[in-house]
Parts: sequence; C-alpha cells; structure tokens
Amino acid sequence: MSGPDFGALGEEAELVEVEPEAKQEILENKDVVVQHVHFDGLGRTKDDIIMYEICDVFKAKNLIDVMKKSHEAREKLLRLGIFRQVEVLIDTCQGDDALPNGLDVTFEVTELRRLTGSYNTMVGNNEGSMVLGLKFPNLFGRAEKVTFQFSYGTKETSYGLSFFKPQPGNFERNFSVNLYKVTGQFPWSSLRETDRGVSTEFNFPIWKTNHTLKWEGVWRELGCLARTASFSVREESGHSLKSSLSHAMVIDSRNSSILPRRGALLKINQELAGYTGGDVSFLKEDFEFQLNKQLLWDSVFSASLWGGMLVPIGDKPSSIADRFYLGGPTSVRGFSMYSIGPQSEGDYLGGEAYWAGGLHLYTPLPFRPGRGGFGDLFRTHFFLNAGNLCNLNYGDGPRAHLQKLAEYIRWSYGAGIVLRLGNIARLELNYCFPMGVQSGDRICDGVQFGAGIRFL
Amino acid sequence: MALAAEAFMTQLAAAEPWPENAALYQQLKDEQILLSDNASSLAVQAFLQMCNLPVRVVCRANAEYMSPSGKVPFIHVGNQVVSELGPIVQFVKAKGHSLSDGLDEVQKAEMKAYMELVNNMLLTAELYLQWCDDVTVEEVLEDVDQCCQALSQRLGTQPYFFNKQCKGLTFQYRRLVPKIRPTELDALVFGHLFTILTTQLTSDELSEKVKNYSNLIAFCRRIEQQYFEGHDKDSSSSATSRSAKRSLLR
Repeated sequence: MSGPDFGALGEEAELVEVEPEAKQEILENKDVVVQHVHFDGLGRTKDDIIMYEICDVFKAKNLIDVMKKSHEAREKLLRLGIFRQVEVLIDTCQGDDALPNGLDVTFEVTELRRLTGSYNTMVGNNEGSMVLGLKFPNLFGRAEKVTFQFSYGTKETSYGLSFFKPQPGNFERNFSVNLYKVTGQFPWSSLRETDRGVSTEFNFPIWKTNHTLKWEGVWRELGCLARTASFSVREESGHSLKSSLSHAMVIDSRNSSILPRRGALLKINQELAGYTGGDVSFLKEDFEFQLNKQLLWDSVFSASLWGGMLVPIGDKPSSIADRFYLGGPTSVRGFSMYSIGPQSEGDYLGGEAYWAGGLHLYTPLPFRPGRGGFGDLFRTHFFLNAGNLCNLNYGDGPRAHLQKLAEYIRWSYGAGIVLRLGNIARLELNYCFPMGVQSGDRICDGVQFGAGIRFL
Repeated sequence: MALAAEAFMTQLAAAEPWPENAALYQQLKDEQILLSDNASSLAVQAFLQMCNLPVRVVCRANAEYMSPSGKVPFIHVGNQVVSELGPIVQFVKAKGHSLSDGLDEVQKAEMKAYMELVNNMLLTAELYLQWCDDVTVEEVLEDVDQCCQALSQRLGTQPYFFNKQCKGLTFQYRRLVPKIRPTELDALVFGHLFTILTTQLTSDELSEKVKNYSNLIAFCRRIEQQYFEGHDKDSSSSATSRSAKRSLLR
C-alpha cells in the first residue's frame, strides 16, 4: 500500500493520508468480540425468548459482521410482533473488564401496549356493519397473542377469538386456537350459511416448505336466502356438524404475493372429515400452482393452475357447503361469480371436481404515466383463463374422470388494468370474452370488475 | 307485497294439474317426529286422500328446516312448496279440488270455528304434553274433554261432520246410497284424535279422555279403514300401520 503522490505538500499530506487508511484497517479486518448485549425497555417480555433471537450476535467476528448480525437480530425481534420499535446501538466496551477490541451492542426497544383496539364501519352488499377489533399482544411475555374481532351488522353478526403462541426461539413453529361464528350469504346459490366453530392449528417449517396441521369442528347451519330458492338448495337446509383434520403445505419463492415478478408458489391442501365425529364424511384435495417469469421491457409472464377433488365417504351425498365453485372476476374471468357448472333453477350447486388455469402477461401501463410513483401500482394485463367444474362418478376409473373434466371446457380471454393495494389485495378492471359457455352458466361478457386477494 | 305474491302463486298453481310425483315431507317417523307434528302430518295426509290426490310421504331429518314456514308437514308439488294444513287447503282449492264447496256460508263458518277449536284445544294439549309433564295437567285435560264433548255432539251419529250430499251414489251396507264426502275438518280431527289414541305417552290420561266418546273412536276407525288401509305397502300408511299392532279397541 503506497500513499498518493502529492509531491509539493510533503510530510503533512502524507500524515493526513495514512491515518484514515489505518482506521479502516481497524474497522474491517481487526477481530472484535461482542462482550455485552444490553436491552433497554423490556417490561413484561420474558428474557428467554429474547435470548434466542439475539444469540447469533455474539458469534460475530468483525465489525461488519456485528452490524449485519445485529440487523438480522433486529428483524427477528420485530417479527415477533411484540415491539413497536427496535433500535440498535453499537459502541466500544467501557468498564473494568473491557477488552481492547470489545464491543457493546445495545437494543433499545419499545414494547407494544397491552391492549390495542380498532373500530371501523363497513358498508357493502346492502348491509352496514360495525367492526370492533381488540388485540392483546405479548400477553404472558413470550409473544403470545390474543385477538378478538366482532362485527355487528344490519343483517348478520359474526365474531372471532383467537389465541396464538409461537415456540420460543422458533417463531415459525407456532400453534393457535380459534373460536368463531361467521355468517355468509351466497346469492348465486340462494343460500345462507352460518358457521360456529372451533379450530386448532400447528404451523411448522420443514426445510423450505411450510406445513399446517389443523383440526376444525364446525356447527353449520344452512338456509334458503329467498323463498324462490330451488328445491335442491332447500333440501340442504338444516344443521350439520363437521369435524375434520387437514394438512396444508406451502412452498413460496415469489418476491411478493400480489403481482410477483419472479418465483413460484405451490400449495397443496387436504382435508379428511368424519373420522373424528360429525355428520359429514369426505376427503378433499386441492392444489394451487403459480409460476412467474420476468421478460423483456419490465413485463412479467405468469401461469397458474388450480384443481381440486371432493370424494364423499359413505352413502351420504356431499353437502353444498363443501363443494367447489368456479367462475367470477377472481377465478375464470368473463363468467359471473361462481356461476359455472351444475345448477338447478338458477341456483348454482357447486361440483365435486374442478380445474382452472390461467396465462397472464403483465406489462407497465402504455406510455408509463406516473412512472416512479403512483403509476407503478398499475399494470396492464392480458389473460387467457380456462376451467371446468363437474361431478364425477367415483365408480369409473381415472380415464373416465379425465374425460369428464376435459369435455365442456369454459374459457375466456381479454385484457384489463390491475391496481395493487398494499401487499395484500388487488383490484382489476377487465374486458372479457367468455367462450365455451354451456347452458346454465351465467356470463359477464364485456367489462368486469374484481377485487380480492387470490386470483387465478 | 306478500299478498300480491300469494295471489300470483295461486294463479300459477291453478294453471297446472296435480302431478304424479307430489311429495309430502315430514320428520323421521320412529325416532324424530313429535306428537303434534305427527297429528298435523296425518291430518294433511287424510285430507289429500279424501280429495283423491296421490302423494308420497318422504321422511327427512331436516324437514322442519326445509319448510318455508318452519312447520311440518309441507308438500312439494311441481315447482311449489306449501306448508301447513290451512295453506295446503287453499292451494288444493286453487287447483280445483275442494271438499267444502258444497257447504253454505253458515256451515263454512261453523267448520272454521270447529277447526279453530281443534287447533286451540287438542293441538295445545299435545304440545303441552310433549314438552312439560307438569301439575296443571288437569286444566289441559279439562280442555281436551270439553273439546271432545263438543266434537262428539256435533258428530252425533252421522258419518262425517258435515254431511252434504254430493253427486253420485256409493255402495254401502249393500245398498246404493247418496255419496257423502268428508271435509277438511274431518281430516283435521282424524289427524289429531288418531295420533292421541295411538301414540304411547308417559300417561294415558289424554287418550282416556278421548275414549270416553265412542262415536269419535268409531269415526277415526272409519276414516282409517276407508282412506288408509288401501295402501298397506305404501309408506304413506306406515304411520297408521303402527296402529295395526295397537288396535283402537283397547
């Protein structure tokens, strides 16, 4: 290492140059030891869960490493959901036992309050409702969380209470217990459903996949939404009890869940009902697959495939509340909401097997207005969707099943604009051309608007 | 709005003839149906038999939830669903079948009064007995006794409550006699009395009260023989087949 050639300035210049380089050497290459990690601001949080998240900081060998590991620890502490703010301070060690290369890392945290609440009003679908939410974060000091939501509307009332507990040191492994009452109105089937249930689920990661094991017990009450409901829907009215075990596996390598640019998603879900009690007995499988690839000029190509099958076990036929539905702005576009497949007098009954696929090309808006700001939330979108929904005769072989799913395919194509809402939802406005329409399907050709979190 | 809708439905009903596959829905016979619901269902079945309209009885566990009014029984005729005896009588009338056409206004009013009597006294007694077995059972029994007395007096020695003669002759007691048709009041009374007489309850007091009136027992037996014994193998009469094991003469 040689100094710069200042020539005329001579000794003074050399002195100035050497110092910063020498300091750099100390910072980058010299070994450091993290001697103490301090925490300021802990109240009800217990020590042991904090220890797990920050133990890596002690292993850092040089300053850059300390900064990196501290940053990672800060991210881990924030994801526990118990702190409002976490700030990191790195300083040299003071005090009697200080080593010359010793460092002190201090985390200054602000815990969330014991109780946070929210109150909103919602209006939609000829109904107004008041929603009250309460959250108790970090209830017993180890990142447990209790949430309560209550919605009181002009037509229906629903509530949910949930208790969540992660494993200390392994936040991705957690379990939760939920208690809920949910009511739904489904005008496409002239059906009203009220579910009161309790469920408990375990989440755990295995390598790159995330698994969920869940038991759910639901008391379901079905009723007709209108006096003109078809008799097939009327026959399903009444009470039933469903007790089911389910397992879900998710592998998600996308960079975002709304409008991803690259990566793939695979979700496989299975549910077995009837072996732990209840009136309904079935085996249900469904999967969701999505692949995204970035192309030239900031455009993204996306392909997705959904499918599912419901096999009733025993003599009783499947219930309308368990079957699959297809169609709508979030599913096969160009058709009305859930208005594809078996129907009776205008009420859609759902089907026991389905598949649906989509090919999309997302491009920035033409002429890129509002680039770098608001315009980036919008994308233009060209799509091709296809799918089929039917009931299978389980006595026939797989060849007959594939044949049945392949006849009467509904498909559609079109273009539109997509707006991204935060990281959770998206809005779409499309112009659709539905094709392969069968008698009984209801279409929405022309302009169709859709809002949701899960799109085909 | 509701009246206009009903008028519209009645118009629709009048348009179509009675189909072959009409069905009557009630709860499961042996393990689910209650005394009062059984009586109501039997009354409707008797009424439809008297009108000569074929109907098959279907038992479903969720029958009361399927019903548009929440009460059983209800009938599914063509595209329409009608529940309870009153609306069913109206519906059947719109299709052109009526049992009480031949009666004059005074008799019709009297018939309505007796039907209300049965509904108020007998139905209440059945409801009372199946839900609570309490001390004031004496009051209930007193009411039942009064109701049976009124019915017995009205019936007298005639075969039916209103004996309006209608067209046609029928072969009875080895003679051709003018045909006399029953009315919906007969169906209603039969439904309730038959159920009370043949269902085993915790106490026999209710059926004892009815048994005091021999003409009422004869009336029930007559209707059972005439309208229900014809279809012994049919599900529609298995409600009455229970009675075959427990005869009315005890």
